Amino acid sequence: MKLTSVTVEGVGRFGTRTSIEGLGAGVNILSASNEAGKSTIFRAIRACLFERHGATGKEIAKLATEGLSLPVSVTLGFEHGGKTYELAKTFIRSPSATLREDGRDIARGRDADERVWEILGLDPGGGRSVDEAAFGILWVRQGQSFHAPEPQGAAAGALNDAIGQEVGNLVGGERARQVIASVSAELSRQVTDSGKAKKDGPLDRAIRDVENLTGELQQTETRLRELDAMLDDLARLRTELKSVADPNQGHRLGVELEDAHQQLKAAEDATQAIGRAAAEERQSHGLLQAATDRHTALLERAKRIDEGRQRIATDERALAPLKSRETDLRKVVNEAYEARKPIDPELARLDAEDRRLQHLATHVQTAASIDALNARLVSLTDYARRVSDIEARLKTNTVDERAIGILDDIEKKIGALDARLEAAAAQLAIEIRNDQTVTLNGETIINAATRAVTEPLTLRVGDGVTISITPPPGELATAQTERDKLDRTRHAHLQQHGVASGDELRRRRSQRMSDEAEQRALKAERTALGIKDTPAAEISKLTAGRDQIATETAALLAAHGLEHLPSRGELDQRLQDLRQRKDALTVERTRHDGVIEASNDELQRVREERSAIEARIKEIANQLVQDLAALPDDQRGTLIGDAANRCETCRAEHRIKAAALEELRARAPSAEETERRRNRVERLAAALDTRRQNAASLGTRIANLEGRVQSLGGDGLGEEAATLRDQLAVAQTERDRQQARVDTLKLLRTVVQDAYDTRREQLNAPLKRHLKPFLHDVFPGSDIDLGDGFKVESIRRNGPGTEHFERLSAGTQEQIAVLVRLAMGAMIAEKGNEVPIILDDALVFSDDARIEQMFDALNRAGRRQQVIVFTCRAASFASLGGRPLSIA
Amino acid sequence: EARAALDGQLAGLDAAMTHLDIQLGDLHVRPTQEDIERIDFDGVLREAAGTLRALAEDASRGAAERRHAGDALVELFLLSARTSGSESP
Repeated sequence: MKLTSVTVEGVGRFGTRTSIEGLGAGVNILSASNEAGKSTIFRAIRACLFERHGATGKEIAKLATEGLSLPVSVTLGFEHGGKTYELAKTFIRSPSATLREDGRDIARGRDADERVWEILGLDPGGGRSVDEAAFGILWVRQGQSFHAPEPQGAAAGALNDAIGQEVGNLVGGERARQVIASVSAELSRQVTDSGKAKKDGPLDRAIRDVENLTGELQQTETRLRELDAMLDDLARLRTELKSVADPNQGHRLGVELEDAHQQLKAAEDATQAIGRAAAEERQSHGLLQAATDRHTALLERAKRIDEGRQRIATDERALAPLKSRETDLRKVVNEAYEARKPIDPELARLDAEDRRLQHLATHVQTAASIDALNARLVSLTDYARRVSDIEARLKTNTVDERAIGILDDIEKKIGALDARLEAAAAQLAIEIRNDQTVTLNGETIINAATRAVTEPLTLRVGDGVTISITPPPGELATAQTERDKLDRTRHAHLQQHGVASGDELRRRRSQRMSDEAEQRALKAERTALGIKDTPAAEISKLTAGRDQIATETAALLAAHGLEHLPSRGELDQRLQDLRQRKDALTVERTRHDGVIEASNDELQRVREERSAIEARIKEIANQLVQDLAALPDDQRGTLIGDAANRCETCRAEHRIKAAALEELRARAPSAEETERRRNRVERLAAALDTRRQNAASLGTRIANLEGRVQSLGGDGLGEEAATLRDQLAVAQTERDRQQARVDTLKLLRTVVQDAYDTRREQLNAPLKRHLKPFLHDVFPGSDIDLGDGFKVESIRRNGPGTEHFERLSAGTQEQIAVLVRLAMGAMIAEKGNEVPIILDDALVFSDDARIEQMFDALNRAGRRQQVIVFTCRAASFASLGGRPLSIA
Repeated sequence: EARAALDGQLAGLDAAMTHLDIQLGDLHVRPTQEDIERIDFDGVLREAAGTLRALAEDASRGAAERRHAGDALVELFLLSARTSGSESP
């Protein structure tokens, strides 16, 4: 089908007959402002095609022009199946319908309504309105463009027919969905979405029964194992108690303990006897040690007395040469001091003379500069005079550049005025042809003269003729007045500078410039002369310095008793002689100092050696006094002999005590044996004690175990465990059965779902094939997932990740929805059912870049079928291209 | 009918013997090829039934997996019988 004309009258804002002009194949665009009636035309087209002419519903009533009682008339022209048709319908008032085919009426009224549906392949059904089939998904009303198409009824049928021609139908799809729904419903009672058993579901109850019974059985079996262990422990403890309580074994242990006690006592007695003998032996040994020490001390003291006497004698012999050496050294030092004594005053005198000569030499050098000072004084005096002269001349001559400029300006104006006066004035020509004297204004004329009469002139010829020539008053009077004024100005200017003429003023200016140049030269000379202050101050300073040198010279001559200052060479010779004398004396003094220092060092060493020997003699003498007090020489033999006898006596007594101790030790048991006997006593005593404690403890534990066995209930525990095992087996069977049921249902759902999905993908493939070029016009490289009923599920862009349709932006949703509609239209058209695509104010959410890509997609659709776009955005849709439509 | 016949045979055996312990836990019902053909000829459910039958008869799979496939096939048969005639065009 292709719309070729639309005409309305009494529709909305179109009260009079109005047509859409320019409709044709491909893309058609009607750009008009808001409220221009685009949507009204869209609704009129739909009503004409799909409403019975007798319809009076709200949609028809909304079409009528408000305020006018006109019939609602819509006439559509279209081509279909190679024929041309015109469908004219009038609603509300005088309703009628006429269908013309290739220029002739073929149906009227109700027949026309239904005939057009038959031609377009629409099913009127049993309702009041017709199912719009493919028109329902390809004609997009204002505000609906961003909804993804979800074809229902005949629209879905049209799509399925198109798909069925290519890949067949989805047989059993509904029953498969019912099976999946039933299985999912039962699974949802058994397990959660994550696959875990659902709480209080059959599987969950079976699992919990198993867990409860398993726990219960474990507790019972634990108790049973505890009971068996207790009974075993009880039997073992009773056997142990019987052994511990044996009376024969107790008697035997008692006899052994008594025997062990007796053996230990004998060993301890022997040990005590050895202790006493050892004490006596230690006491005897102490006496022997004391006697031996005294004897040894006396022998050592006698030896020290003899050695001390020898060392004192030796040291006293060594003292004599030291004292002699000390005396000799003192003599040498004194002699050196005496020899050095007169040298120091002589050196002091020579130093004073040296300083006096140096002072004199310095002054001689200063006095030599007086000639230079005088020469500088002459230069400075001359310089000061010249400076003073220049300054005086510059002070009296004030003619500067400005004064010359003023004069030049005045004379320039006078020159110009003179030229004007002379040009306008009468010319006086004088020619003298005799020897008479002729003067003009007192100036003698020789031979001839010409003069302009610009001022009164007095001409004298000889002594008898005086001719006065006066220029006429009139037009030159003003210029003359001006010139007189300039003369007065020049005169005043010259008087101001004290000159009578302009030439003199210029000479004075030249003189001043020369004086200024000389002044600059004097400033340079001042720098060369190094004058920091004024010349007068400099001269005063130089004069004072020269006078001071003269005064000092006079004072020096008086002080040295000289009539005139010596020469510099004379002074240098005297200084050289004096310094040679000083150097000789200094060398001699240094030599004496060396003798004194060396002798003093040697004297110090001799003194220290002598003091050390004397101190050692004193120390030995003191020790000798002490030793002799303890061991006088006259008692030395008696005291040493008594000490030796005492040693022998003590040694004999100690020998006896030691022999007795050794004998006791040889007879007594060893320490290890005594320790072994003690250990045996303790072991036997502990064994008897342990035996008694074990018996008591075993009795207590047996009583305790008997009580616990009674509390565990003993009898019947085994039967209880057997019952629980049977119940657990039944519960496990039930759990396995429920689990198997769940696994079976999951497998069934997976298999049916896979079969269904595979088949659905096959069915969606043709639409996706048609969609792909449109989609890539706008979203290059992307792919779309379609669900049941061609519903747009998601889009994949830039990788494997999917974006759900509902989460996309409004603009992207709208673009995808339009692209899917274009694909559906292309698929239906390909199967021979060409239906125009009409978009009423679509793509409202698209940005500038994306809308250009959408235009590419619309033009792609327009290559195979008619596309009509209504828009109020003329500027944005300017680049869509296609046929421009107009309302006329 | 098959179950009634089995029960009759078991009753006869029980009467002939002093003691007969019968374990019927592993007794399973399996639809025949004709039953499967009735499910949904050339449709989605028919394809699913074929897959389940192939799984149940695949000797390379474990006993439990094969038994689940067989049970699922029976369940599919029962459910499809329940929804038979509800398919819309």
